[in-house]
Amino acid sequence: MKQRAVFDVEKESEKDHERYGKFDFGKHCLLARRLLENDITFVQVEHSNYDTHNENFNFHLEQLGEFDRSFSTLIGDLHDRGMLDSTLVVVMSEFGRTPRINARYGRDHWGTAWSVCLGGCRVQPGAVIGKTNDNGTAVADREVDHGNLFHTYLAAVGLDSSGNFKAGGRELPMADPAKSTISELLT
Amino acid sequence: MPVSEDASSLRDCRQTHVVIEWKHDRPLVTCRFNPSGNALFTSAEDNNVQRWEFPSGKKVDYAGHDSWVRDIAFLPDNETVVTVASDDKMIFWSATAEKPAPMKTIEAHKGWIRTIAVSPDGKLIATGGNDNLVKLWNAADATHVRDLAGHDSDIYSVLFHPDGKSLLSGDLSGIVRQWDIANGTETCTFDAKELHTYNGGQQVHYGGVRNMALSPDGKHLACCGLHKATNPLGAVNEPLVLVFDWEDQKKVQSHIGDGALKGIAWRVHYLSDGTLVGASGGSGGGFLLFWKADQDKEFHKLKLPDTARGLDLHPDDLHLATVHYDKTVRISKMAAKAAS
Repeated sequence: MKQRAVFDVEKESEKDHERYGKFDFGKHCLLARRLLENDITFVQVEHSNYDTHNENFNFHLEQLGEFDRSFSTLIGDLHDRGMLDSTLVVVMSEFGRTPRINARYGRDHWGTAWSVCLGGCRVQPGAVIGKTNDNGTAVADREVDHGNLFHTYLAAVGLDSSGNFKAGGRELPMADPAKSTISELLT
Repeated sequence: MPVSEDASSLRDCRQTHVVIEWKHDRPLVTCRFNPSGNALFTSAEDNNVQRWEFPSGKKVDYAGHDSWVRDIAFLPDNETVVTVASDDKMIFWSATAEKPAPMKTIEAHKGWIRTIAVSPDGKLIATGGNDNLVKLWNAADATHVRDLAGHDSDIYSVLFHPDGKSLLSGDLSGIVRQWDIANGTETCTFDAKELHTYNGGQQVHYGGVRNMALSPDGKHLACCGLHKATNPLGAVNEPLVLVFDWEDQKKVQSHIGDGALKGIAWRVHYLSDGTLVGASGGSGGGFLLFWKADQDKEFHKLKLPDTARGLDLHPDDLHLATVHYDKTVRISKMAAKAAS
């Protein structure tokens, strides 16, 4: 593979490995920076094991300790390199955790209301769009779904989300025609 | 219910039964009897502490923490209760006031404070938390005495030896360190790593020395928690109590549950005759477990109506308090039911 070296995170400096953290998520965030710097257009980094039906708070302290260090280093580096203006960053999970704490100090699956964090590109810093009710069990204002999010992602990176694309000869909409961009999020 | 009953003549662990239930309005976290035994202090998910007069059940609330209170201890004067919480704070309160308010609040650790103990002479307080530190404090004025550094994971439990010369601290990784209180040096360790699991698939550390107890003759140290953690995120684990010889720190017994209890041994206490009592809670429900020193499995267990989260032994050596997710405090008596 001609571009094999692009994926070789070991070519990054020892200092950067230390800054990002010498664990899987740290390495993956450092690799993400390397891929973006080499003009890879879409990079996904996973951090798993948030499925805390038991001792949610102990495990999330452990997980988020990793996440904070590596993710904040990545964002800082993208900012310092002037790359955030052209890079959309999305932090999301497929669902949230129950507002209610269960008998084992855990939180279970909650698909009724949760949040997605966006930054970079045209996303205005510090904006909070929509809200839940006081105990977080339901959306109280400005409910959006994946359809709205895809329009917003595409608009943020400068694409016309009302267009179509071809997959296997089929003409498909780039985003759900029934949904629209979360326009108040974008500058 | 008199608290002066003669435990040695009345106590029959096999006859243990729930004699009192008190209801709170939020799930409960932990509990401690005060030294005189005339009150039980509990903490709950409302961030408050509750004082329940024993046995009447009259309740007084203590509001002042900003997160769950993880542990409670008393000065020997019976007048002062000290609480530690996940808000990094240690708070001193009146143990008897009708409308208690914080008397002194200390930012004691960087991160959760999980455990507190008071020295036998009442002069020192030890705390332990998620900053991997054990800290010693003057009980009289809450001034900091010294840090005991050496653990490399969260501190889950601290325990003063009755001789007043040493302190024990147990952490998430299953290491118990013994400290010389006079100079803060570490004197030995107990290897309780069986109470810790690292699950590579889920990439989480789990378990820890949840609580410790010394046998009445001072010859054994019991450390409780869990093992067989095949799915930490899903609460698939079993209670385990490891017992060590005090002199040579070697493990002499592993107390387990008979059958699948699916829980954590949250806390253990030795009764005056050497019987070890533990409370287990988890996906399998709540149990009181009773072990003899020479048997790995319990000789008796009582299934509680809901999963247990905390346990304490009344000074009368006859009653046990457990706190539960179903917002209920349960007092169990280790004796036959009174004839009706």
